[in-house]
Amino acid sequence: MRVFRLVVIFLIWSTSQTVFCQYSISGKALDSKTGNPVEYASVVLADRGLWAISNEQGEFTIKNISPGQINVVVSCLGYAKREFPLKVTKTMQGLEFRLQEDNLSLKEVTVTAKRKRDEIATTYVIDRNGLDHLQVLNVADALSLLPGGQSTRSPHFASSEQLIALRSASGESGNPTFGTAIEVDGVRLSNNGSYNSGITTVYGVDTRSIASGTIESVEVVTGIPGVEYGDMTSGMVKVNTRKGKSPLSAEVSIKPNTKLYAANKGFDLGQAAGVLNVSLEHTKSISDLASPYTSYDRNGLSVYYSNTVNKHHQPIRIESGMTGNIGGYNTQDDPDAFTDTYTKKKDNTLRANIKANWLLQRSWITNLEASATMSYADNLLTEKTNKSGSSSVAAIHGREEGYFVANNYDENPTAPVVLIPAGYWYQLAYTDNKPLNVNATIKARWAHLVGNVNSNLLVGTDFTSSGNLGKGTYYDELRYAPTWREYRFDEIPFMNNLAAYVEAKTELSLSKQSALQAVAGIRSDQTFVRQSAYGTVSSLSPRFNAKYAYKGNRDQWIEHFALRAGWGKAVKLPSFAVLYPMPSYSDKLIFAPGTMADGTSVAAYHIRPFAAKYNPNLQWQYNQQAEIGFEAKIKGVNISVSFFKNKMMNGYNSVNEYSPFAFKFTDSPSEGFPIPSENRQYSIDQTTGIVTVHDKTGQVSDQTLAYKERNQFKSDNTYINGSPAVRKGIEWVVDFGEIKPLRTSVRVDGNYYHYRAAEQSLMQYSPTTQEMADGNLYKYVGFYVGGYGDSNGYETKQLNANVTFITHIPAIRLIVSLKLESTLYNSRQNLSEYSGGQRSFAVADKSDYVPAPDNPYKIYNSDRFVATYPLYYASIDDLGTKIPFAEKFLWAKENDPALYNELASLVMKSNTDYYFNENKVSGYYSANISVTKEIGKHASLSFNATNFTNTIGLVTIGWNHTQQTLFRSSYIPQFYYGLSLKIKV
Amino acid sequence: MKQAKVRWSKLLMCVIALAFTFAGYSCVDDNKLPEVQTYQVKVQLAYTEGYAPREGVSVKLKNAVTNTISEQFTDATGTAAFEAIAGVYEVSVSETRTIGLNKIVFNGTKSGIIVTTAWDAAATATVPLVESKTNQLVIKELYNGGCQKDDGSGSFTGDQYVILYNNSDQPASLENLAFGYLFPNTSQGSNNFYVNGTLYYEAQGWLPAGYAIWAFRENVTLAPGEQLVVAIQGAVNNTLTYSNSINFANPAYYAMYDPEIFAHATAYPAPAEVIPASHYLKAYKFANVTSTAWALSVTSPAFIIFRTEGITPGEFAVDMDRIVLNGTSASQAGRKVPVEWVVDGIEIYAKGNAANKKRLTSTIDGGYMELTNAQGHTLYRNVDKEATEAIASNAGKLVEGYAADPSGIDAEASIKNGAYIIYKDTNNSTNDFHERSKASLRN
Repeated sequence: MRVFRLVVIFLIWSTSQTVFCQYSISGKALDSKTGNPVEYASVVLADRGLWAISNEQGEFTIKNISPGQINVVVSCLGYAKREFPLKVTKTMQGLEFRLQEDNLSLKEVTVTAKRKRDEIATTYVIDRNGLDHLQVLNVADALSLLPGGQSTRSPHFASSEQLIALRSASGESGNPTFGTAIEVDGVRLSNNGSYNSGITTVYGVDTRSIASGTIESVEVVTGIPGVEYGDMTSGMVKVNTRKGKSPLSAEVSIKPNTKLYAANKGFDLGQAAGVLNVSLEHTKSISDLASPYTSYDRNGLSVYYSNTVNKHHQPIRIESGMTGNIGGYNTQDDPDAFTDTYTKKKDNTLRANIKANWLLQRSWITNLEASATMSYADNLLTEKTNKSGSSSVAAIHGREEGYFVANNYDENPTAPVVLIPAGYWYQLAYTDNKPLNVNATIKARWAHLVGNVNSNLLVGTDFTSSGNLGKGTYYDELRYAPTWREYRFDEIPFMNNLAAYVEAKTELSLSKQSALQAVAGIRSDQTFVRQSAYGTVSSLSPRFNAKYAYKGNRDQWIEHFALRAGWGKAVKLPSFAVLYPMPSYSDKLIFAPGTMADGTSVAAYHIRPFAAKYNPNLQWQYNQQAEIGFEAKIKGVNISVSFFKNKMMNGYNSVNEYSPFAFKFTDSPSEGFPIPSENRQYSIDQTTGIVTVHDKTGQVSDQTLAYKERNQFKSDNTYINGSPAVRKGIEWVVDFGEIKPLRTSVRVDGNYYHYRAAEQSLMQYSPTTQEMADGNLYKYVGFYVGGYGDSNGYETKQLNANVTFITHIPAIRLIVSLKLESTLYNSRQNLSEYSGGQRSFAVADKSDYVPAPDNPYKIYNSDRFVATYPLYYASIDDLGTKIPFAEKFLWAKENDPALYNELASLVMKSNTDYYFNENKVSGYYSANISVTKEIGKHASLSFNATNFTNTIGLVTIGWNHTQQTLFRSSYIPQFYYGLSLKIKV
Repeated sequence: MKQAKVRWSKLLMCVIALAFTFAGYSCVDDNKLPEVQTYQVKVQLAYTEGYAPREGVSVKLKNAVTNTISEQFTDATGTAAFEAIAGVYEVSVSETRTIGLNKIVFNGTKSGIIVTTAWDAAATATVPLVESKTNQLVIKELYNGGCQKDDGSGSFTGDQYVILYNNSDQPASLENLAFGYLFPNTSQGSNNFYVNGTLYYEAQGWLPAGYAIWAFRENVTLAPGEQLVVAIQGAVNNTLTYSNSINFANPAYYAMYDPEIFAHATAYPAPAEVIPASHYLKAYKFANVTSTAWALSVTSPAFIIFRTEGITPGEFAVDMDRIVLNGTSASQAGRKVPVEWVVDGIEIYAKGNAANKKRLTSTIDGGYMELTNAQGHTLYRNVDKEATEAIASNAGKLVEGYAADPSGIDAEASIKNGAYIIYKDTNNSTNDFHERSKASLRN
């Protein structure tokens, strides 16, 4: 709360400043080689919220600039972005900003991820040169250029979703892929409204639908982002497609499993009409070279329009874009599959955005920006499978509670239990998942100056609505629909979120060479969850970043130095799977009198619906982020280091809750039953469960069958907030600059990552299909710290280090990079922890259930099997009484063997005697080489080989002291290569 | 490392065999036919204490390279003598004695006998014999591999069955009889019960039965020569859909069916209505086992029937003092079955798989059988030719000339003729079983 107060005080102070005299700058953007004017160049003073677009003569003017040091960023598609530092003390005219064509003849070309120095939060940018040089065919591949990043393991993306988790790893606690925000041209790709493959697990968005051939740059924010960005906990990836005027270019990129074709052109519609940029792309990735039928296809289109109106007085910059994809996963053509069986999953997307930035330049407002975005996906999954059965199969569709006898479909197609007749049939299943996310934002920026203090105030609000237009799961023929209940996603109300934020940025010049910059902001989210017990939920996200920068002279040891620190809170809204859990059903076979000679059978089931379970105590998941870092250029060597510590709180966790369930189980009619089987007709009382047999001929009176009363547990699913997960790490980049005689620069980058989480929530488990010695179904339920499993968390430590040698010869337009990727330390330790005592015990022998007489508490690195006890157990007769397990179990061993035998079912045993040993994997390495050569002005050729040494060494798996070959392992990428040709007309 | 050793030994054998071949070739005189040099190999049978050698016991010598088998009979001292060319040999012996009412079986093998030019004719290869008793109840047939579906979409394996047979002249009670299979589920899977090359439980006198066992709900007694069919899965008329499969719609059949314990709807359809509910076997699932079906391997199970002595199968199943865990996975619970409880067992190997390892110890099954699975094949017990032909009422009823059974008698065809079959039982499935291309229950 102290930080929160500081942020508020800072904001009030920032807004209380007054405005002093202001100047303007004007000039031209020119082509450095020809001297021709560059049209549509954007000239941006990011710190001041001011901008201009050059006209046909390359001219621009920016007015109302407060005096002081400014950084002018001039960019235009096809030219290298340039930054010009200026000190504004008066109105400046006749400025000339010369831009160089972006090609390999430039002295400086970046093919790695570059730290964005003008951002306080750690942000890396990977531009088109880097994407081309690496031959990125999927956005997720580009992340290998981040510090310590490693190449994609698989040479294709046909069969697995490509998810991104920043400063975290998928599979960890706190749903890292779900918490990583991905935006394409400002359009958030949200999975909030999606019911993807994991109904009880939440995943992030699949990046395969983003056409990599249409991308101009990728920005990766791993630090603490500004408050205008909400609904995320694990950083964000901003994808920018091509914008502006550009010549026609075409690209063909081929890797063994993947082929990409792309074309782009930026049309000049005239100064009044603006610029339209169009990109097309087709990519096909196959999973198996020997059977090239299972594939992921992408047909991407990107259209981006930009124009400036009212150019001479308070100009308005209008940008509007649309990106889309038609394609997806498809196995239909695979001749190896059984005739007419397939799986298809559409990945059709449509994203649109419109943005207007109005440069008001008033004394109380600098600019006003309004935008609207929309993201829609059609992820229809179609699965056609062949089925067969030698007797009729019951398919349960009922939603009502009670006992029901199965009916033939033709007799009653809407019966709660339907019989699928014996024989062969196809099952055609659809899962229609169409998440939609719309957003409207309005934000105002006010840049002003007090003395030598630059202040920049941002105030904004955004409204986001997430929903799903899909029909859920359904079948083409109800006759062959298996057990299933319709749950239409399009009937779930949209989740709405209204956010308001305010952020102040202040830059204070401490001396001629040093300055202090601080950004503080706060974001408030109000989430409206209609038709749900959650109602309206509010959350606050304060964030703070500060930077001290020192700029020396070129001849000094330290050319520049910057120290950064930040702290913030980021909230992730839950997915629909969390907010609107699907109602679940427990179906129990309670009567099956035997299959008739013709293969038909009768079955009766008890259906128990469970209403969607809301957890009234559920809180929104958030991440407390802290970061400190520095950048420096010392003797020509660029150094960038960041330390971070993120604590994920309240991660969404799916758990089971058990409740007692009593039912009647009816045995088949005994031998000598008065009604012959062919004349029997069965009915069941929906409430009592008593089965009556009727004689179809009417000769024998109705007979009721004997039954057994059974008690059992049934489990139902709900969401809770998990225990904290802590992530810490260091990222570094040391760029030694060019060794001139060799024309080679050396870059060393790496990261150290440490993750630790041990779930402490009490979770239930009971083995429900097991009988006890007395013939009754199992009657105890265990309450486990962190769940029924050997471990309730794990700890990982990983140290990655890369060395990249980049040889760039501008004269022949050639760039060659050799990247050595290594993992020097890789360890995982399974954890079994309970803050209130001992969760697991070492046992003397793998068959033992009681703690070992010696050192039972030493479970780690002890080479022993480990038994995990529930903290409590309870009986079905009295669920309210939780009995401490360990105490009772050990007592029962000596005094009550029957109880001991029964309680032993609740003890979890480790699979191996090394399960709780630290699993250290010895170091491993691989090498990649990339070559890009421009042939004249119009063509460029790239070659890339991943793991080109095809490393087949061995690594030692410390867990069980074995060795594993690196060949086709998950530790290093597979050997693959690619070639691409790009032509610019 | 073990596998490497096996491969080295095989390689060594091949090298030796080749060496002999070429050595012989180099000695050939161009003008004369080569003289084949033979060596006398004496085999001495070593009986357990209390048993004397007998004359006339069949001893088989198998050339490990050429797979040729020669047979000799022991003299009164228990010694058999062979004339063999240079090579690598395996000796196997299986002898059955009737002492009083009991049948006692002696099984023994010795492999890696290398006969070279340096072979000492006076040397004797001693084969230790392991004594075991046969039981009146035997597994007559185990059909576990499934068959092909009619639509060409692959195999249907939900029609496994076992046939028990009273092979004695006395009624056989099935009280407390249980069905189980051993860890690991397949012969080619990782087997961590091997310590230093031997199954460590052999010395301790038990077998690890995994996951669950099944037992009869009622007392059943089999008359001499009577059989009992137990459908392991899919106890319905499967031929309605799968013409290569089995029709279990027979009131005499029994079915492993306990939907409260194993609820897998595909594996366990409601049994054919002609099978009375009293013929449903009861499943006893061991603690912590979560599987929804009793998944007997379709390639290579080690299947046993055993009688829980002094306790019921249900009491046996919940007794945590008998717990044994699969070598690599402690969550896969099993129970230690004392070897003396085991009535019969059959070890099935995955066909042609180099990683096969024995699970049943030599007193239960001294050999193994390989099965071509998913083709409707089955493993069927051989006919005890001598004993069967000795039954006077069988005269004229036995169908001869059946090559798959070493006895030459087609048991199923003979039974249809009214013959009374005595099956071979030497506690050695290699000797006792053959692979039939068609299950006996198939129409």
